Amino acid sequence: MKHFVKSREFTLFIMILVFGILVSILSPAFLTGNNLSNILNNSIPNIILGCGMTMVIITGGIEIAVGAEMVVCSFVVGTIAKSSSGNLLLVFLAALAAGMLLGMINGSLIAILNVPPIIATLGTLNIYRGGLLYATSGKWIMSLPSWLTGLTRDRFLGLPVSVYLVTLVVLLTTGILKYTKFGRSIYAVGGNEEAAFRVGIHKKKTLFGVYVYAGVMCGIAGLVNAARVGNVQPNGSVNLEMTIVAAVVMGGTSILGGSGTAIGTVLGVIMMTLIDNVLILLYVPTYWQKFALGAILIITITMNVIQELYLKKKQMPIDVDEELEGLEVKTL
Amino acid sequence: MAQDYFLSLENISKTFPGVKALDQVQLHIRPGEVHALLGENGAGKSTLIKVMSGVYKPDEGGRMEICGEPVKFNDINESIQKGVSVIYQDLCLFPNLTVAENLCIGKDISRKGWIQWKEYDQMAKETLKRLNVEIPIYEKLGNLSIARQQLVAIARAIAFEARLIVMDEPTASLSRSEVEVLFEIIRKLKKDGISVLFISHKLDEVMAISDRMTVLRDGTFVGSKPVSEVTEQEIIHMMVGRNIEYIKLNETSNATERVVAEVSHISKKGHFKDISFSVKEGEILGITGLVGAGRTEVMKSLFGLLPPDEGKIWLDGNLVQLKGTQDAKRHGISFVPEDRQTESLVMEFDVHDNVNLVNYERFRSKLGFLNRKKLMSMTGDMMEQMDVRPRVPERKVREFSGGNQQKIVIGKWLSSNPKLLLVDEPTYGVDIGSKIEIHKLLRRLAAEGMAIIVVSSELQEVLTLTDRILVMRKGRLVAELHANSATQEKIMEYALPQGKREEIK
Repeated sequence: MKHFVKSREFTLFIMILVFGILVSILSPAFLTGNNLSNILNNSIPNIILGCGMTMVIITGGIEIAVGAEMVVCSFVVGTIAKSSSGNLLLVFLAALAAGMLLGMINGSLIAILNVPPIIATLGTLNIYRGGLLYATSGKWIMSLPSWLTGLTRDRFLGLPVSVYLVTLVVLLTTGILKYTKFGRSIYAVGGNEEAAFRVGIHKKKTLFGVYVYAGVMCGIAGLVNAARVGNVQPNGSVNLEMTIVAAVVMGGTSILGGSGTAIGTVLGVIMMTLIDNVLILLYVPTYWQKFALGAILIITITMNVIQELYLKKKQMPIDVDEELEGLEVKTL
Repeated sequence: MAQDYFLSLENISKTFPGVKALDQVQLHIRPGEVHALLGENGAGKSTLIKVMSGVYKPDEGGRMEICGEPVKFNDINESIQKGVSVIYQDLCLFPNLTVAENLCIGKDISRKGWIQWKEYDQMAKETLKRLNVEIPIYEKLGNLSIARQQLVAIARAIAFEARLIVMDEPTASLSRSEVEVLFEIIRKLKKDGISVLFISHKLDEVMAISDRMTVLRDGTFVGSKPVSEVTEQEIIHMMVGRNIEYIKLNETSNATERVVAEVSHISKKGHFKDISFSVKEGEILGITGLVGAGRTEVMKSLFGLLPPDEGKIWLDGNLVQLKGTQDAKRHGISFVPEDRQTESLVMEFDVHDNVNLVNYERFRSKLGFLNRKKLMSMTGDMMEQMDVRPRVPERKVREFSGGNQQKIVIGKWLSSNPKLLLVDEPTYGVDIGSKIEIHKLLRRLAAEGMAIIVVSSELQEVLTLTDRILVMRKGRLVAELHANSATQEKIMEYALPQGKREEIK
């Protein structure tokens, strides 16, 4: 229990509560069912992407192509959905396959060819963005069919279907991270690569798997986001990757690798979406929203670092014997 | 005969491009024996361990047998399965994971890829119990002391059913009482029929714990003997091929009456309390005690890295505030830290760039540009003065031997012409030949008028190198001894917990 209270997740949870209470006082529009379900809906694609990103960052890597990859998957989903033979199962499988393929490309570059993750994904990011504009000539895919948009609008037991989907994703990610050999290998590689090698963990397989997982998450997020927005914009979700990285780090995942949880990421994403939402409700201009997001990221991380430094400084490495009568050395 | 040994290596050679690291080496380890592997730095000990554990493949022609059966390892996993576990100096554990997981990770008690946490916990508890050590299994490993992390590493080997545990310099960062705990555990392993290959530079420890020993020199096999049949002198002779003793360098002191630095009643909470001493021009002052007695912390205070909470420091008769390393450097203080690889050297830089890191301020024009010509000649002079070999300033520091790296570190700090030189463990992990060279160099610097403070755990070093010895215990200064009248036993009487406290002058 004590451990739980001290955890990053708990702190974040409390922060969200306090923030929520403050805001509901400031803006009566905040605590309405409509607005809350809006926050939830907007969070869902980011939580899914965040789950993949969490794994990547725990290994000590980074994936900055997630936004582009999600849009590529949305595009695949939209194209199939608009065709006559489209149905939900087919677009779901197509989104998974597209995401997996994109993940395998990153995985091959990073795990097999040893390209540094930031370079590999910076490359694929630009290739996909360029490719999308070429393939679509910048045209949107408009008015997606209702069987697709229903994913985020139709309710089952009072909640949108997508909420069940995202819950499943978070549980799956948590389960993998905590209860599978693959999941523990992710922490091991991120914690001490050399030690991981020496206990027989395959770094290449682990990294490859992680980027494939992140790709699959892009696929699912692409599906959900297309359903949520109701259309596909080839140049949409630009800079989304930075929001995701920020949310993951805010959720307690160490940017240096080795630690992090999916639950933390969920809270991180909700916090970020909440801030976004509140600024809109308070009629703050868009540029200030960006400004606030950046500032909040820096503040959270700095606080975290200061806290760690403080704990380190407080450490007393030597058990000084206070009772012992010290030697009086004659001084001048 | 084959059954007599758990592990048997015959005629093992290992060639790297351009170097023969091992040449026809033999090693025979019996079940349940503690076997010491000895040799200077670069003698081939590390290469041999790596061959035994499957990191390197030996050249054709040698034989490796486990319990009489020939084996060939393709990777580390295969050696672990055959019961050979290596505990490297850096331990190779996961600081971000719990003790329990560190013990079990890689061990396949997962079912179809699913981790069984309960079984992990159970196994961790049982393993630690077998070793009779109490470590909370849910604690993050990174929060434990190095000594306890080491116990976790040993427990890990046990959990993997090791029949032979290789310990590479296991006592390097342990205090004497922690070493006792380790030895107790080694004895327990022995009783269970588990063999230990013990690698250490500290011969007294080797003599205390080992049954037999094997000595390597320059990648060749020198000999194997029961420890009871040899003396320390004979071992040193086998290791270096010549009789080297610590040479007593401190018969006459060069100390003048001029006090260079004086420390008066300094304290730092959780580090040390009420420390007072002074050091004179031309004097080498030794500070000894067990690891964790606060010696390094006092040095750090003098170098501005750990400003004391109270107390005063005078340099050349002036009261000074040392709030950072810049202050210390400006007052002519240099500090050679203990761990050259992480605290002193940029391993990927060449000698030139390493040395000049401390000199940039002196050779900078008003616009901030560096005088490269002067800096270059500085490096050359230093390498000559320190006798660094090979004398190639463009060579990466990583590629030098431990002894030469240490000379570079000392040389780097000397190039800024300090008045007061602080040296923490001047010859840690350095072979005995270089050790004596470094000692001679420090004496020469003292003779030229430098004030030097040497922190060392090695009593022989303090006794033969310094003029005056301070002993610390649990953050307190407990004795001041004259090097010429002190003995190892006398120092230990003060250094050990519950030891004496008395001034001998």
